[in-house]
Amino acid sequence: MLCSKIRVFLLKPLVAVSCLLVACGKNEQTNYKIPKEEIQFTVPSIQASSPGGEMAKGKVPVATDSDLPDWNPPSHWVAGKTSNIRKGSFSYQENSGSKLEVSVTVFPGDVGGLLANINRWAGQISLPPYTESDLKNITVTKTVHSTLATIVRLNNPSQQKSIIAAIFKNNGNSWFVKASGDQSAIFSQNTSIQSFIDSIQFN
Amino acid sequence: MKKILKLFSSLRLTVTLLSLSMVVIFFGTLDQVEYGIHHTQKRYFESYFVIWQYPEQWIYSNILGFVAIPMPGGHLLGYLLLINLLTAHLSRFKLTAKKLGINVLHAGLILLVISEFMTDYLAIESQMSVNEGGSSNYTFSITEKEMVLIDHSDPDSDTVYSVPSDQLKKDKSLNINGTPFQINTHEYYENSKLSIAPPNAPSMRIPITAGWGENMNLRVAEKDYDYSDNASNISSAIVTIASGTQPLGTWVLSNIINNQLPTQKFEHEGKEYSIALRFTRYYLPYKIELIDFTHDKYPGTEIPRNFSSKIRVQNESQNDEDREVLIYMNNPLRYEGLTFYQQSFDNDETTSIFQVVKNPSWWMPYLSVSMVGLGLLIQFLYHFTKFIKKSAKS
Repeated sequence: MLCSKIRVFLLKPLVAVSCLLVACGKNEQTNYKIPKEEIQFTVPSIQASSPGGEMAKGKVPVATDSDLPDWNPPSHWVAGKTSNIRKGSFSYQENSGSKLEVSVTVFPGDVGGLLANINRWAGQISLPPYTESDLKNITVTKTVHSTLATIVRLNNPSQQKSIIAAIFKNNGNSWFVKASGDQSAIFSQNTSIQSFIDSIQFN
Repeated sequence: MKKILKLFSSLRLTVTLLSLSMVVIFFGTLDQVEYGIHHTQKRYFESYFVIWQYPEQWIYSNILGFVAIPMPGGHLLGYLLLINLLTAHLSRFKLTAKKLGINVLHAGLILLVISEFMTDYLAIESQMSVNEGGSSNYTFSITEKEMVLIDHSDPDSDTVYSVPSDQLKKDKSLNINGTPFQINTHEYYENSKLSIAPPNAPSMRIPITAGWGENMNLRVAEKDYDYSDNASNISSAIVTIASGTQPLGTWVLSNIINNQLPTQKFEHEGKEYSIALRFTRYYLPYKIELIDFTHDKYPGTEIPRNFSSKIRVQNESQNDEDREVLIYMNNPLRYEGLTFYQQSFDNDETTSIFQVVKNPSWWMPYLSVSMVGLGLLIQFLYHFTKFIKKSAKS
């Protein structure tokens, strides 16, 4: 009698533990609060390679706000919204309605190289892709406050769209200053765009 | 009922189960060479059934590739052994001095099997990576991944909504609990290759409309999973986040993007959110700061003598506890239910990597082994005293 009572006494918690264990370990959605994080990009990371190439592991510095260059936009440009990628944003509209947008973006590494980026922009204004040998016709390099900049000019007369862009390399990052929009707005703002590019100064 | 009880409590079943355990261990060990320890552990020992397949890496696999041997998995064998032990123990249980040692020994074995299940279900093994001068308040799994949506709208804290990567199934939608969002997974790859699209690349099946995938014109392709222990597989997903019927964008998520590039963010109804696919994180209510990492070598050689990390534990929830600890090989930090072992280092010896183990049932094997020892001792002493008495009488 005593033995059977002890058996039942032993069996119950063992069955309960077994059931509990079977119920455990399910992958379910969770939510929780955490303190605000300062994001560190410190772990082994990727670097953009040439177009079509696989992103390789490496260590690429990522721009922080302290890397932000100084610039001086024309007063008639309207400042727009910025983000962690888009560090500067401006727009301008002429009385005729034609408009342009200027963006300052930063990416780690070379983001696929000069040709890949130019072809990406060319695609945005419906131009066919360029080859390496075309680069000398559409780019010039100049030094802006001790930093080498590659200036790119793209124009698609049939679509009435243009792009003027400058690429700066600083501290392992590529900074893109790109003015894109209607051809007439780009042409009328050519001097302002050039001045803005010339005002970019990395510390 | 008696027949069933007899079957489950039979010694024949014990021997069969133990033999099958050896078979599973044997084939698991064979597969471990090809598929690594984590995969094998999950497949052979944390499952109910498993089929061993002639490995394609072996010779004559083109001829013998069809060879497949089904066998019970570790969980099934464990449960059957537990039932076998329990029924044998309980059906023959007698509270007598003669059987006391045997009973204690059996109870110890039962506890050992239960402790294995407890460890299997409750233990969490993760890593913590801290830079010199930096600190961390979370550990991360090296095998499990999660898709996270983080609500940044609260000025004091962020709310993390975590979806285990197991739930990201191709062309399936699911609600992110606690948010107004649904996630539609177009692709999910355990291992993948990310590349920048070459000029004139054909457009993707699902156009990427947001985040780094759009900005960098990324392409994602599946790669064979690398089972080697030091492999760093790149998990990637292409997902669309929607609010009701309104799609908010299609992103490329990848643990490699998340590791390097600034967080991918979006706004919805005035709130800022970020999304990422990352190794599952386990947040702690305290911070570990790495003061210094040292890697000592034997003089004149490159042979490592010692790795050590001087850390600071800062815990506001424990009366602003702030103390320095030295973690080195075979001298882990045991703190708040976790054990921090010095595991590795990175970044030219400026980053220390700890293995962090949480195992609430760590004491059970010690207790069970002690019980087995005690049972054997009791049984031995019982017979020994009986023998002495008998000898004295004669």
